[in-house]
Amino acid sequence: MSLRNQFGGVWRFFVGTAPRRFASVSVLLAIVSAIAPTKDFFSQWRHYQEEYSHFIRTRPDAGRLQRRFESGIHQIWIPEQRVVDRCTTCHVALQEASLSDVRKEPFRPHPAMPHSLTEFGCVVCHHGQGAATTVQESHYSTKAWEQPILPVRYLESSCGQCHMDALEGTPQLNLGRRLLARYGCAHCHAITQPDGTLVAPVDEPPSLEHVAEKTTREWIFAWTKNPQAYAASATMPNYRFSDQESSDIASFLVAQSTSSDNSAKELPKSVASLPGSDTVQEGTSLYGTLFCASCHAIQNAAGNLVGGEMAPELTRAGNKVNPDWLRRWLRAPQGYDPKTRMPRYRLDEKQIALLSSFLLSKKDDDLLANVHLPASDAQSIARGKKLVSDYGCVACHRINGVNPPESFAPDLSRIGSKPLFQVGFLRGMPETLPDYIAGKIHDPRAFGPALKMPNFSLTDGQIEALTTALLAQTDRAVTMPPELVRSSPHPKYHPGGDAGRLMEDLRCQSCHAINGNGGDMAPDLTFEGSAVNRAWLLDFMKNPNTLRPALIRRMPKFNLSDAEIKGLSDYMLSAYQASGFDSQALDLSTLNSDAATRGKQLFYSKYACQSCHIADYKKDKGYVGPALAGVGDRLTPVWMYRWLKNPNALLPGTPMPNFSLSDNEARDLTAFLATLKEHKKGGLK
Amino acid sequence: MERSTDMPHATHIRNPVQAIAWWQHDFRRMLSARVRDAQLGFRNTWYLGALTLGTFTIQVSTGLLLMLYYHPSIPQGYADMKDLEFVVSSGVMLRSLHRWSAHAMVFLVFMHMAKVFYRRAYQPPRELNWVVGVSLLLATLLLSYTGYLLPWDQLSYWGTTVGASIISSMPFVGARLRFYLLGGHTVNANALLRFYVLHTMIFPLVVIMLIAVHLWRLHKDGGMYEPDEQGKPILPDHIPAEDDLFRGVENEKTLSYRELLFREIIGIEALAVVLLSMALIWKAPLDELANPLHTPNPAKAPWYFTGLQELLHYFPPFVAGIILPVLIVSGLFIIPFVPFFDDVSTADLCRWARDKSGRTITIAIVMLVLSALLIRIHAWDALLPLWIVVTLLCLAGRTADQQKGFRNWVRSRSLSFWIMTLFLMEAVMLTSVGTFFRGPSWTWVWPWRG
Repeated sequence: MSLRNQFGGVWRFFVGTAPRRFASVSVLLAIVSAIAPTKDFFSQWRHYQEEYSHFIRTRPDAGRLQRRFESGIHQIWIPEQRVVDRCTTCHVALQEASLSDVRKEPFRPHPAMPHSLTEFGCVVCHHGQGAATTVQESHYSTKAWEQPILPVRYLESSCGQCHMDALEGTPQLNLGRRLLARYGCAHCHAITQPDGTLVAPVDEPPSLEHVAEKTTREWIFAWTKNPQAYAASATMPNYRFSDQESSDIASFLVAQSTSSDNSAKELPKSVASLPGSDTVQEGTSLYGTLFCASCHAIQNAAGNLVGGEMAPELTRAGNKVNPDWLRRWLRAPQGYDPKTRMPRYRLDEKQIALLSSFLLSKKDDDLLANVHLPASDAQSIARGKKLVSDYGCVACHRINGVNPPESFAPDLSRIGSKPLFQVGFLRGMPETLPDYIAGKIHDPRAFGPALKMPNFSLTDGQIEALTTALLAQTDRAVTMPPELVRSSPHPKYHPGGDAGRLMEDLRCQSCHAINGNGGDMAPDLTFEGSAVNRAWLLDFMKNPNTLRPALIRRMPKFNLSDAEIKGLSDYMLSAYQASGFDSQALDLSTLNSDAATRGKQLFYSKYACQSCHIADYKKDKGYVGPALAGVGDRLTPVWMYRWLKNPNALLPGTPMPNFSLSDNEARDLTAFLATLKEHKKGGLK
Repeated sequence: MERSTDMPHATHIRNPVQAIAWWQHDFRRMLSARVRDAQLGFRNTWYLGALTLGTFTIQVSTGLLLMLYYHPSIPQGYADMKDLEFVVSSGVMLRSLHRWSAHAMVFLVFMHMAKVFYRRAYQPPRELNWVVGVSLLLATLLLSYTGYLLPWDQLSYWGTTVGASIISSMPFVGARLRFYLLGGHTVNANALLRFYVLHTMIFPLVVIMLIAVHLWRLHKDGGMYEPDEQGKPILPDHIPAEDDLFRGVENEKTLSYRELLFREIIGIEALAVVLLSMALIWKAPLDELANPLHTPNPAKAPWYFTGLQELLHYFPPFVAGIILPVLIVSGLFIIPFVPFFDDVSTADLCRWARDKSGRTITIAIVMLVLSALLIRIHAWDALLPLWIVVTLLCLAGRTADQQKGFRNWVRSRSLSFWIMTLFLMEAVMLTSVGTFFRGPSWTWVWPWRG
């Protein structure tokens, strides 16, 4: 009872009369009004800054750190990039190199990077909400901001927003971009890069216009059912066709096939007409001496692929190809497929016979043993045609009577900024864009039974690299001002004249790059004319041997005629010249024997070049770099001199270090190297 | 009446003394000088008018502060929201207070209208003030609707787009009206600028002027409404002349400034405490930057228009976009001018049918016809209020004349009472269904299954 009275007393005290009511409510209002500023005062970022100012007192350079630290909200403002980054409000020590041992966030300094923090800000690379000043809002996906911080393992993608060329520090991005081109993603998907160019596929799927000449309906059936069963390294993905579908497709592909230019040509002799010899033995060694393995691979007994991956795997070629077709192909590949990368070897009848018999022996009797297809009929062909056009086969292969589809698959130019509301996530997967892209590449059909994209059976590392490359395709990248895009455009280059035609015929650019066009398997030939001596080049063309004996890939022997070799060498020596490789750069008269002696000293003692290179096969054991015995025959002194001065200028990315040689040292070394000559027996004169 | 000359008129102020005299004399006339003690009670008005004015004051003061940070441009307007949230001191609180106070203002205006209506305070001589009040209701809605766009996030962009398409569903003039409002065919930078000017300049001025008229009429019509024993309003002894405010009524009235204004200020302060607490607890919603390519499903108008959106779901645009709104607004305007609505009581309504069963059957038939119409268009949620009202009418129809009790109370209600009750119940019903129970493609969802 007394309690109630007491409460009644309290009640009366506060709201008993109108003035008391007024006073109470006014005091309450004042208190409530003060809460918001108080909350501001105890904000997260203030807490971190206080913690930081306590922390730096314990550091040896406390005074300097304290002078450099300014409390309050910090921001990096880059209007043209629409960037307002307040990350540095909490990440206060990003530019404090002296705190490099600190691991505690948010006080870790930024690792060394090629860009200035104040010019590029944070979110351009790391994503997240730069304007926010709370941990939750800035790092994570919220209702008012979709894009969270980019996981570190995809961080290289951010470099790809501006940089088109392969950077040294972005192996994963570079790999992803190579894979995008290599696996033919760009056949179906248009991917416009920041410099405005489309990703160009490099896989070059074969034309199927004359496929019936090359192979059988049964093989096409088995191949479309599961390409990897025929060749473990096959690029073509598994579309998971049913037996009926594969059979229909095979019927259609055979029905649409026309005859190629080759079919009219005379058939080279088969091995049966050769005088009895150990054809398998000879064929095998011919396959080796022609260096077919530079491009083609064959599975060995242990199941490992031996050989290059530029051209189709040949492990079961005997199951696939028609013997007549193979012999005609070996003689003139371009007659069957004008766009093939295979060079036209100048093979004689016997070599063709041996090589074809070797390849036809490469077969697996089980592969087609159980394939028994019903006779092809018009309905099956019609169904096959529909499947071929539905599944976009023509996006990669040329097929008679089916036109290439336009925008067959979604454009991926802005996939890295795809809004999440457009994304249908799988149940249970983390709902982020990188996870979606990776999941989609890993198993595309899991996202819907009607989806056409096949399964490419890539490794996790490859998927991560591809995801990185695709994440670089952001809105920001597409709308980047052109002056920020870093790319080196390569205008199309085709060598001209007679030599040019010969180089086309030999498909030199399948392996060698010239002026930025061509493959990367063999050395870049853009400045070959400045680099090598004529005598050596003539000799090499006649009988290519390797500079690096440890490699299986080497230049094949094309059986060129002397006239062809002379014409080609003279063309290269005059056309592929770099500027600044004349006597202005190096006075050849100074390369005397004294200089060579000093150079030998430098080679063996001061710079210990023999640890990587071989100057004398009897003494040296360096296998890292190319052997230098005979380098005096091969390279011009001016090239060697310039190379020694700055290797990276002549071959970007070379592992050869720049030793910052003085002019004299470089000259002496050049003089020594120029004395390293092998005494060849043959050769052209 | 004679004008006395010792009180200076506002236009004649020459020195501070006169200014003080003007304040004493003219400005304070915004309220009646004196009120009867009976008018002071909370139960009479729940201070709804004063509280609405309180929310408007909060809106003006927070709005002015927000204007210091806001640019009506794209996408800077949205970036300003982020700056308010992350950098400006108490910025979140400021924006939240403005948002919740706006909602409170719309709600209180409706409450004020209902309270005035059910007390029959709109009767002559206050019919003009009722019209001013309805205009204020419309101005408040427009003020709130134009402010909804300014954050330029997904919510505001699509809410405004839906609202604009409701406007364009009017036949003949709709598309043109929308074009003038938006300054284009879609919600874009022009629309943002126009809405900004309307929200910060034109509608506030309109509202301020209407409030002035509203208060002046209130005072002219005898202060706060107070019915006599018969329920008729007590009229002032006379319409006071300019200088007659303090004469003749001293004995029967309490000074307004000492009692009434004081109590109202306490009420407004208490409301401010509530709104401030709300603003501290719940942040004003902010979605992602407006994206014209991504329509959220469902795209909802602000809550006070979801009722209209729900109507549009049931009726063709011509009905829901023009007939019903025009009927409702003009009905609200003319109520005080048509005595018929007030004079016909429920008992009168039922009189033309001769016996009880006849009345019941008639009402039941009317109910069935209306229900069939609503069922035909699957307007299930509109059925419930209708059935409640019709059931009450049936109840009245079946009852013999009595002097007391609920049934008698029902019988003595006028036709206007039933119209307003049905309107308010439908409005509450449709608005809450539209706000809480509608999901993607305007299908029914339970809010707790969201």
